[in-house]
Amino acid sequence: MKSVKDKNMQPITDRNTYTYGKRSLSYNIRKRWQLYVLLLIPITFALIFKYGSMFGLVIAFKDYKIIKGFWDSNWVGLDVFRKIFSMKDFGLAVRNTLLLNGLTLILGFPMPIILALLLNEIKKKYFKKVTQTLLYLPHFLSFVIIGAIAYQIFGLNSGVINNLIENLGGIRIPFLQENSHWLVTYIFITVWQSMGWGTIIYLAAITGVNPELYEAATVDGANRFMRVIYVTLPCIKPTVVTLLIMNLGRIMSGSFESVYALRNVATTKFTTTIPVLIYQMGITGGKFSESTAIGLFQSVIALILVLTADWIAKKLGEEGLI
Amino acid sequence: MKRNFKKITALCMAATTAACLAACGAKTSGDTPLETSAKGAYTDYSNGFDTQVTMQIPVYDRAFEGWNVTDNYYTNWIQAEFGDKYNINVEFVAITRESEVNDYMQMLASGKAPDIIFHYDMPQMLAYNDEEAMQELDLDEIAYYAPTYWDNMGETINTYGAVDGGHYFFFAQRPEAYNSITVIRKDWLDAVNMDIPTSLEEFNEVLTAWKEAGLGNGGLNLVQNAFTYDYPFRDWKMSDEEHALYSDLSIAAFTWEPTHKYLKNLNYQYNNGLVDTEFYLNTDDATTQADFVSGTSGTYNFYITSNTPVIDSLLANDPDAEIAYLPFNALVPEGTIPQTRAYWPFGMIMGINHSASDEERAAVWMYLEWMSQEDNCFYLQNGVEGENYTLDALGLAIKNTDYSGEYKLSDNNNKDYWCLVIEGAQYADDELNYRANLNNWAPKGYEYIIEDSYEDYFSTEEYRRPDALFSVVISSVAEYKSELNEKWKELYVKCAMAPEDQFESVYEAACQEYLQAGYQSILDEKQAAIDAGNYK
Amino acid sequence: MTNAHKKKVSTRTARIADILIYAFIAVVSLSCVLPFLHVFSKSISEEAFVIANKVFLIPKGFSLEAYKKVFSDASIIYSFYISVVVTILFTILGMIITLCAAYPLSRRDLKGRKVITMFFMFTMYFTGGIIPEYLLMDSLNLLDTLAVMILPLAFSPYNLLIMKTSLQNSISDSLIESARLDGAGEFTILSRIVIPLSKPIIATLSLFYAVGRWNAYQDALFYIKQNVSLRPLQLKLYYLVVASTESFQTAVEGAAQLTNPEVLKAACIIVATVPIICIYPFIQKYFVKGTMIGAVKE
Repeated sequence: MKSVKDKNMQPITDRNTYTYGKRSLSYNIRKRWQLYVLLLIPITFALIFKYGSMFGLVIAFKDYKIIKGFWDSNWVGLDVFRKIFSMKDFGLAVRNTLLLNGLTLILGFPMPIILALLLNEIKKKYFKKVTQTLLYLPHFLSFVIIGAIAYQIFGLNSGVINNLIENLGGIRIPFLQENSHWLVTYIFITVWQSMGWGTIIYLAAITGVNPELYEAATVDGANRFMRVIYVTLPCIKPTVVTLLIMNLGRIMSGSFESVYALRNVATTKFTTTIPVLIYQMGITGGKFSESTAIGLFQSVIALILVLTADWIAKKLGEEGLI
Repeated sequence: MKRNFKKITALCMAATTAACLAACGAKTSGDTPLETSAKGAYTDYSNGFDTQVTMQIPVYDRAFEGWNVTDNYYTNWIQAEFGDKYNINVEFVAITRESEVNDYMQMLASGKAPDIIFHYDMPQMLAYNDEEAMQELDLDEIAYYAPTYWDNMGETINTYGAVDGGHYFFFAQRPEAYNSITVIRKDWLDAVNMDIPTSLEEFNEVLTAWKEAGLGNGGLNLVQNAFTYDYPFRDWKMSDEEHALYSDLSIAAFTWEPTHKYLKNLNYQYNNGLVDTEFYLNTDDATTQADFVSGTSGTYNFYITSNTPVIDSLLANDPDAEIAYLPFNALVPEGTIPQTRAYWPFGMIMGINHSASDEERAAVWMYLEWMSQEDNCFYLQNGVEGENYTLDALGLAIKNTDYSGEYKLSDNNNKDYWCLVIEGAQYADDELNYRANLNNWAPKGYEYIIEDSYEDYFSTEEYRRPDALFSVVISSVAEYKSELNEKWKELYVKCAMAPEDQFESVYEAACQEYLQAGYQSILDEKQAAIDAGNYK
Repeated sequence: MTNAHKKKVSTRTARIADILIYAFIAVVSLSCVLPFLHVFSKSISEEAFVIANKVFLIPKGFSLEAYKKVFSDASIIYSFYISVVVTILFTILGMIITLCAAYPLSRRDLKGRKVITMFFMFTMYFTGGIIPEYLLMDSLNLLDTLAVMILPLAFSPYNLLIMKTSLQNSISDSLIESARLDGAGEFTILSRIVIPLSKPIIATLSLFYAVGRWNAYQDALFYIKQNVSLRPLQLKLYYLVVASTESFQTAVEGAAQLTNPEVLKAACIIVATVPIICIYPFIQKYFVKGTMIGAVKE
């Protein structure tokens, strides 16, 4: 039963009670005003602390001079963008960023999920508690330290693993000192660093699964593996989709520290990424316009990707992000 | 009428003469009296300012424990001895050393920057200037308010402080320093029966001998940011034009012949395993230090100080180790004269904040003048006699390292306060200076290293050449510097690691790539400036 | 195959599966703790061996010098206290903001839901940059205050969206509707129904907020300048390490006595990280199975 657009209409008490969709705006606000009041707090914070500094984006279109400030610096339109896009390394940086982040996403996104599912199967409480705590330790180490340790482990001449390989009669492998090897090692380390921490959110989602569903599945003859596939996974699907969409938005950005800490100047094919480029530009203590412009470029791409992914998700029947 | 006219003319002439005499009497140096009188006299504040002036002085905050950089015994002493005397409120503004450029940028953006803008590196100061952070200076004004300071630094300021025709920078003195040294494992030399090498060829022979004896390699680090690697391969004395075109501390002269020779030698050393084959991973001091201390490599270059942990660590890992000083000519090919870069005669580079008022600026000059007085500087550097230090028979201050009372200096001896006028301790007497340096730089029992370094440093004095200075800004340098620095690292490593028979072709290709990345533009712009004579 | 046999086979496969799972998790966990062991070993080893890179998992020599140095300054204890206070306040504020945003937005029938969500999500990808942010803090008079470490980052769109999704799916509309029909206002629903039912996600996000705040010091680096007593633990440790490294580069003037940065760095990492790691076991008990059973008869 669809309702007629008439703002004086009384609410119909039938199945569609709580879909006030066709009522007027003011009516809806009045009906659930408390929700809007609740929303005021976060909106205020967002306005003050996030939107309050967004005026800074304007220097992507200006020739920014610190003394002149944001408003008085000369307007240059798209000149800064033109300059950046024609930089010799820009295309390379984009390619590398997409490559590194894309591969990390494909290989790294499922890992926390798999780990969480496996952890969920563990019955011995003590073992579960201890391993969980150990698993998220890497998250607390900054990449500066991880980079140094990585070279100690994977280094060509004196790395622990290569020493072991040589002792066993094999030839040394340039894990971090040859382009393709570097790519694999980088992804491996990046995934390793964040997978433990990533299990937390999935474990929380798994606890929300109704145990009755498991019982029903067992009754229907499902073994443990099938229970995971047909009960657990579908129940945590919304969380997975949300995180997937949000991570997709980061594909043009990614982390500066992880690449910078692991790169070296002899293996440069894949190591120039956009965050590294921004860092190298900012380091001269100037070029704010350029680094802001690149940041803006990344943000726009991220937004487009997220909205697209959200649309796709909705088309596939999922709830989506927005 | 005619009489009045004569009277008036006479009066005018008298007045003009008086003005001229007064102006000529004003203290100046380095400028003609004519210019001074044209600018007019400066207000004399030697009795203090009428209304109190707040002067904001930047000071590095290195987060030393228990030390408040903006409020301690010495800041109070400065206020009492200087500020109160001239009715100036001396306010110290903390600048975090680690994030100093960020700090300055943030403060400049919000209008809170102190009266002095400073940095140790010229490229960064030029960048600040590009942001229009500083005001143009009147050198006569400095000479007027700070005669002692001007005596010390006037020439330097005149020579180095000009940018695009205007004067913006002033400087602190940099005394001669020779504690950047290379040490070599003497016990390894003894083990292969060789003497300390005196030429590059001998050095390579030593390294080969070490390798064969299984002792270790020659060490090596990644060259980045400061490009002095090619000095040992330069001819003495090359033409001014060539020197101005290629010699640049901040941009590597990849296509230049000295670089070619350097890379060729490096390629030879690399391919024969004479140096660390993973040298490109040695991006900071810690890694090269680790190699030296653990006995992997036999040479190490560093700034030696009396409390360096390097020697103790080396001995802990290898109690039989002995070290010796490696002279400059060990890295220089046979027959070449050991040329080194002459350090600029200044330490801290400073500018006046564009928003500083005339009184605040005058106050800064007076502050520099006050700190340039020997007594004041000495007090800040050493503290109170009998408490922080005692004077020995020659007049050298021997520090009392355990002192922890009221007059305690900061962990780096208050350097961040007196660095505005000078970079180190300076005594009037050369002998005393040397003794002070020995105390500061030589670990106990290793004085011979500083002695050798001193000898080497001064025997090669005539072959030190300062960088060329352009009187116009070479804009392509600022434009391409960071890209070229990255390219340099990538390309030179590639050249070093290429097989020996492919070196020339790899080098050629690398040169092309380097030129295209922006170096050609820099060369063109510099050449144009040289042709126009805009350099010295 | 008889049923009994089938069961035996399946129990055996289940056993094997169990062993494999336990082994896999054990290996992965061990790989995660190794770097930490490495850092810990360095922190209790003697300088000389650490400088020479000779310490990997087993400490060489034994020395607590670095820890002594870290704790020699009483202000470290105070900065620890500051970090704790800031982290607690930040987490509470952050959770309040997140709940106030996520709950309304999780109701599908809320008018303007899409627009408001977009409004929040936008801030996840667009930021002004360090200078505009500094100017903002300056104009709000937040520089050198405790509040500057609590207020600006308390709003986290990332956490918000996670909670929104979670509430969307775990708190059904019918549950809310029945509560509303019983006469409960939105605030009551929030406190009496939503929060108790969302313990796992609240615990998770609280952990995210707390850990995020504890580890980060970048903002304190920029905004706490003159009032040094407000420096949080991580910032103080960062300065401690960097101050040691800096002195080795001081060209002319002799530097003061300092331990080698490597050992000090390692000790600082341990001191900074151990407190926050200890929190997780206490959060774990909130990951209990949901108490949804029997609440709603569909």
